[in-house]
Amino acid sequence: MAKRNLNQQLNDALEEILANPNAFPSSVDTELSSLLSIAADLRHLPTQEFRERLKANLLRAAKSSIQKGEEIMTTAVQQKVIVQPYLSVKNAAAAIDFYKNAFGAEEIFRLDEPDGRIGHAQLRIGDAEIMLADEYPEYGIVGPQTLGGSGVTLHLEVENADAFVNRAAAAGAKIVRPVKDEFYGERSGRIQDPFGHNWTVSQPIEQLSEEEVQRRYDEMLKESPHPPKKVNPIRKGFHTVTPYLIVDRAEDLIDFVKAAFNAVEIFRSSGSAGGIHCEVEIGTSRVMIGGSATMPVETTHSTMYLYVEDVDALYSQAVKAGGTSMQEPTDQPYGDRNAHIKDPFGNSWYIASHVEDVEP
Amino acid sequence: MKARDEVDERLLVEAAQKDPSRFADLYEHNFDRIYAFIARRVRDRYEAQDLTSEVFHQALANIKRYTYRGVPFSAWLFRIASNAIVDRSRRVNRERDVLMQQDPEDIQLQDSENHARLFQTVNGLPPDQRRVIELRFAEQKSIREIAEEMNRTEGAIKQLQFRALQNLRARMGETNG
Repeated sequence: MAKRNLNQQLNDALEEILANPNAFPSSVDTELSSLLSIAADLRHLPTQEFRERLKANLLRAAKSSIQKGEEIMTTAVQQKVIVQPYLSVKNAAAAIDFYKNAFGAEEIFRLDEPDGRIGHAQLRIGDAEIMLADEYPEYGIVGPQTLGGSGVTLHLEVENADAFVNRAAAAGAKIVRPVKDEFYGERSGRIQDPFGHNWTVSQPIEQLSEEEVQRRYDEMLKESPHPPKKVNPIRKGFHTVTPYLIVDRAEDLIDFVKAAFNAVEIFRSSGSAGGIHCEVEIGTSRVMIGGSATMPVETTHSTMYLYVEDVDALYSQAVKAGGTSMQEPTDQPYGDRNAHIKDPFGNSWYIASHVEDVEP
Repeated sequence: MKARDEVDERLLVEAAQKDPSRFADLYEHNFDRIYAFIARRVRDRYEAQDLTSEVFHQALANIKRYTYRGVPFSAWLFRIASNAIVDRSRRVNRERDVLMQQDPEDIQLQDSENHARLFQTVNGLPPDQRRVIELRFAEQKSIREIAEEMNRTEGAIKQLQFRALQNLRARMGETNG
């Protein structure tokens, strides 16, 4: 009964508190007053519904802020970017004509200059567009012909690579690599136009995954590795013409050129039959020396013309080494000071310094 | 224990800064104290909800700018809440912000912490008691309404209410001691 009373008393007091936030019933049982103090604080108890609703709203806001952030990022990355080739060509007018004939290009814009050069032109080739202009060396704008090559290849995707390349070739393009089916799923060839620009002409023939392309490439390289790198036909250290002195005692001639002209031996090989081949460097030039006593050769007399810093000094040195003086150092009307000696094998050596530029 | 809470809280903040959807953890961690802080200072629970919502949305929007300065994350939230309350009272031309200046700040905060603990203790009550407390105080329903909703007699609801308050007193006493 006492408990029932307390229940009722508590509830009565609660009604008061809930009705008037500032109220705090004073005339209550001490047992109740501590409960009422808790109850007073509970007036501020949030509802579960609100707690959950706010959480859901915050999550939605967080998500949309993430999406917005992503959108901003994607827009920044995926901003529309167009790459359009801008060709520099020697004689743009001729190039435009060529591209019309060879590629079926359509001229859509041309800016002529009083001096006849084309300052800017735009052509459409199928769905693609290119820009081009004449060379303007005064602004450092030059084409492949002037540069001696181009580092860029323009890739054209076409419906019929064979027909396209044939037409281009008929108009004057050079076929660099004939059209054929390629491992990467395209039928493709490579041409160079008369103005030095390179084009690959490609026609998709297969839909391939990246993995498949890689697999085929690995396969292909196994079967036929890359050809050896192209070698420069002129050996390093040599020029187009290299004197080759053939004598019956090559060893002695080698010693003589070392003593006479400060030659430096670069290479020497002896064949099984006793023949010798040697290469020496005299200043900035190379000379080959060959022959041997054990393998008699027909001696050919040659004449060398050396450019050196100090004619007189080298002349004396060469004579001292066994050369026969044919002419002492002399100033010549053609701007060289030169001397002439013969080595012990009959070859002539002119020793010269260019001392004056003379009009021819 | 306090130091560990702070470390954990820093992790929660860093996670939310990297991924705003992780803000939910910070929200759960701080909802009660912020709500209590606001509820004591405004006219009714609708205003309290409104401001609480405003505070957490502001916090979410600015979470990346928050830098840890050796005080709990809640201090930042309390500051946002204080500003929001002051702004609101100025806007509606009431002078309840006087309330804000009555107690020193640490007492205000301690008070909010106590309330928050009380609210969390409610969550730990037996389900029926908890339901009665929520309906009675948070939703401010009458005993009759609650009795109908819970399909009990009014006497049973009054008894649940009584036991729940006793329980809360006991549990709050435990945690205080």
